[in-house]
Amino acid sequence: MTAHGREQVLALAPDAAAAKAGLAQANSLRWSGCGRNERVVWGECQGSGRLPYRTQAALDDGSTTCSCPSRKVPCKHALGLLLLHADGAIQAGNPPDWVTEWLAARPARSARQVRRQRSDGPADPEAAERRAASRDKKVDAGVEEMRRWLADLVRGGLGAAQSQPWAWWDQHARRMIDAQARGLASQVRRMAVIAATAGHRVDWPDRLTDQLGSAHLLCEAWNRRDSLPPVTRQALRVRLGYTVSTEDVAQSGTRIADIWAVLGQRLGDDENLRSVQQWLYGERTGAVVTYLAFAAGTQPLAPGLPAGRRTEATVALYPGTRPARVLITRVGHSEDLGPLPGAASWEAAMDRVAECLSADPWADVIPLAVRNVTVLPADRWLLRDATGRAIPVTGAAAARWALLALSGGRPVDVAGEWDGFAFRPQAAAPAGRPGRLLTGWQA
Amino acid sequence: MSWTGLVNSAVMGSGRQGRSGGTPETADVALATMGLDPGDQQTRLLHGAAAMSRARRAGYRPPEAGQVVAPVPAKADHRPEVCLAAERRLAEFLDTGHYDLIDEWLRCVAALGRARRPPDMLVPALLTAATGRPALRASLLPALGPLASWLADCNAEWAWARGTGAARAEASASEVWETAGIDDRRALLTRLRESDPAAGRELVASTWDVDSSRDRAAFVAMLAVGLSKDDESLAERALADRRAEVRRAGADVLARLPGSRYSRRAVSRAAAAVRIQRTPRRPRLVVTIPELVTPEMLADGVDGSPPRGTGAGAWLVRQLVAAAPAAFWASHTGLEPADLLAVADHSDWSVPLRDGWAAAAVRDADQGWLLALLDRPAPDRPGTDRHVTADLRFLTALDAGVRDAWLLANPDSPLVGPALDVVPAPWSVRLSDLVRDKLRTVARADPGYSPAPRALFRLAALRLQPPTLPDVDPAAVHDRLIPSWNDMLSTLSVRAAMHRELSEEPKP
Repeated sequence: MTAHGREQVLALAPDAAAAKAGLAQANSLRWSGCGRNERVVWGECQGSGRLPYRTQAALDDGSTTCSCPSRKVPCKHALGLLLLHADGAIQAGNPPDWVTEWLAARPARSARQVRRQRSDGPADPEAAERRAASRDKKVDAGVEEMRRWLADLVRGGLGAAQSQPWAWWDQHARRMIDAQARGLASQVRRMAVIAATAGHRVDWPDRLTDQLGSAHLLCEAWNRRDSLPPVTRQALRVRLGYTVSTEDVAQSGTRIADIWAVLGQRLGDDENLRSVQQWLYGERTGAVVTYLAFAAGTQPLAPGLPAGRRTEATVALYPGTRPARVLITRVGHSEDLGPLPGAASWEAAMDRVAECLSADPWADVIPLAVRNVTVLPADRWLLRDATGRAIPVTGAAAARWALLALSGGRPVDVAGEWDGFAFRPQAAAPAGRPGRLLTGWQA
Repeated sequence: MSWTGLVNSAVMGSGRQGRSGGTPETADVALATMGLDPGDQQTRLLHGAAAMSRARRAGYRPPEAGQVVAPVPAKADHRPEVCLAAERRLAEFLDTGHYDLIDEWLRCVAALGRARRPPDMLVPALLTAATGRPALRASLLPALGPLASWLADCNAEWAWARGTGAARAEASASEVWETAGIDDRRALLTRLRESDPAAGRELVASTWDVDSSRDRAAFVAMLAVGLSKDDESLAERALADRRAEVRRAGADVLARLPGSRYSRRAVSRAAAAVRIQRTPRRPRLVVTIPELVTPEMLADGVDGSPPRGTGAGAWLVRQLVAAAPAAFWASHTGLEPADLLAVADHSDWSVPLRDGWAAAAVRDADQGWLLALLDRPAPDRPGTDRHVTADLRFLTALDAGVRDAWLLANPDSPLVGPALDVVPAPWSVRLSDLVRDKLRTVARADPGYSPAPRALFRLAALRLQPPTLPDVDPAAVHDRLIPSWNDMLSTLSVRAAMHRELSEEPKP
């Protein structure tokens, strides 16, 4: 049973330091009395104290406990234990008493949690409607303010706005958060990032105008939301910052069972909020979806599927945005990547862009995969497909060089992100060979 | 209106242009058909940006780039890549900056006899790591193949890796020699002297007249690698140089060439200066100091002015003895090094004699002399730090096998600790066993404020070979050492896993 790969375990870590400490603990010499059954894995770890720590991790929901004094959950010992388990280094066995006691105490605890969650739910449908109406009102006000701000922006010109300090953009973003339109705030911050990095991007005017259009379209669409097709209306709500409850997705989201290859992953650590975003490519259905999760403080981050592997899983689609966000409802067997999927040319691959935009015109970053491209390393790197058309490369230099090295100057299959202007390679393989991620879990 | 026109208007701002400069009438018509009210300047520009930015994305067609020239593909590397587990291990080391372990990983790959190659994808990260750490290149270069050389052609920072592996381009050696910086020239010369000493010598000679004296001295010193009789004339040219540092380097190289004209002169001077006199009780050393420093001696690099605190006679004796080959003394006196040292102890000249022999022994790596010097420390200063530093030179000049045998025979010598620091990874099996024995005692004792036990743990963690654990009951380890002891255990187990992975079958 290797449902958790190493990367997936590391993504559980509350922060980068904990992940590193966990790696150091993933050492069978530190451990004694390790074992596992279908529900739980356990072991005793020799720490800096005289008595070993007793560590256990439930395999169904990933909850862990350890007798060490650390306040981090999961602690480094639990991470180490799960890493050893991911490596297949722990044998099946019968749990000792301290493990069975913990297991026996758990069902009661999770039942308590469920009760508590239930009590948060909408007990009174009328009150819920009132709350929704008042939120819409706030968003109305936020959108109105955004419209005025955008009008001012174009009156003064993007050239003038580009030289504004970060605080100027941020102030407006914060007002959008106060208006409960978190989506408009991220839209402003995306523009702020383009303005701040204009010094080393010749295409900043195009990018900023593009985001300006996207922002204006959000405002326009909100004002005539009743005339939009249902899919686009739903996409609009999500883009503005309305959330869809996980329970609703779990209950009524369209389900897709497939073998999913995770061909791209980004881990974020922004102040107190950690995030993971993955691109999942379905091998049988050809569906391409995204997994997204956040965790604040010491909350564990649900890690998604093992990055850089192909995993049997069932996902449930969130409504609205494209490529669809998913909830993972079942995880099965997992193995190393095979050859990458991909279109024969950039033009063919970009059919997905038009398809996504027709349902969700705010789709910003879209995953693309193309076979047999040639890397052209120059002042501005290009990826040329078999038809001779090429797009510019962006992203970390390390990933670019890794891609060039994998190719050795010969055609490669590549998967990555298209932001409308340049392509960020995330996974690659020499033509027809098994693929792999170009960046590790830390990148 | 074109996208570019729209972008220009947006950048300038609608407030700065008249009606004619904004969105033209045709666009108004288009907006109207979409049900959008053109309204004021700002709104028209925003409508335009919304519609055209989406249209641009949906209809994007990558431009033709058929005319851009692609690099010629790298030559194929017929060695299979290492297995996936080994690749992940190396990626983890690179991520976390464990350069000692990367070094060992590379040496393991090279030790597989060019049967495996490092993973292609990680070659750029390896090149970057070794660009900032030239020490890593010694283990990296033998593991690399044609891909590295090809990548280095695309990235000037990796120029040092050009012409490595199977695609080694000897033809360009003279070009590199004439144009590259000192580091690259040194690297090239070292490589050539190992494989084709004559070619290396010709390179040095080709730029002799234009190189700086510092470079000349460095290059001449490097002739010591692959040294032969053919190098004599170039070294003599150095000996006649106008700069003292070049002359010294020339003399040092010539002294390593038994039978060279220089060496014959040095031998005759040494023979005249130091003789053995057989007496009934024991042999005696008779030292005759030359009356004056002749021009010939000066030309051979003998320095006539002693450093402060050294007598003029002692200074000359030391230099004359040092210039002769270490092996000369057995034939000249009929005594083995150990006996000579014993006899010298009774001479007034014991210090300069010993210093001279020590210099010759280290230079010639004369195993007999080095062992004798180690076994018979200078009488006036055993155990002091100075003594340890001096004797470490002897240990490091010994062949690895002889050195380890000496350490095993003298496990309690004060030299063992400092020696472990200078014996590079991986330690021999026998030396590793010695260290495991030492660990057993060290781990139990209270370390006090001494950093020594932890330093030993760190060395053992990286250099024990095979990386197996010392047989120590964890409960017996002293409380204050437990954290560093555990660190050592985890590093050892990581290394054990690394060796296992590299002996696995390669990727299909």
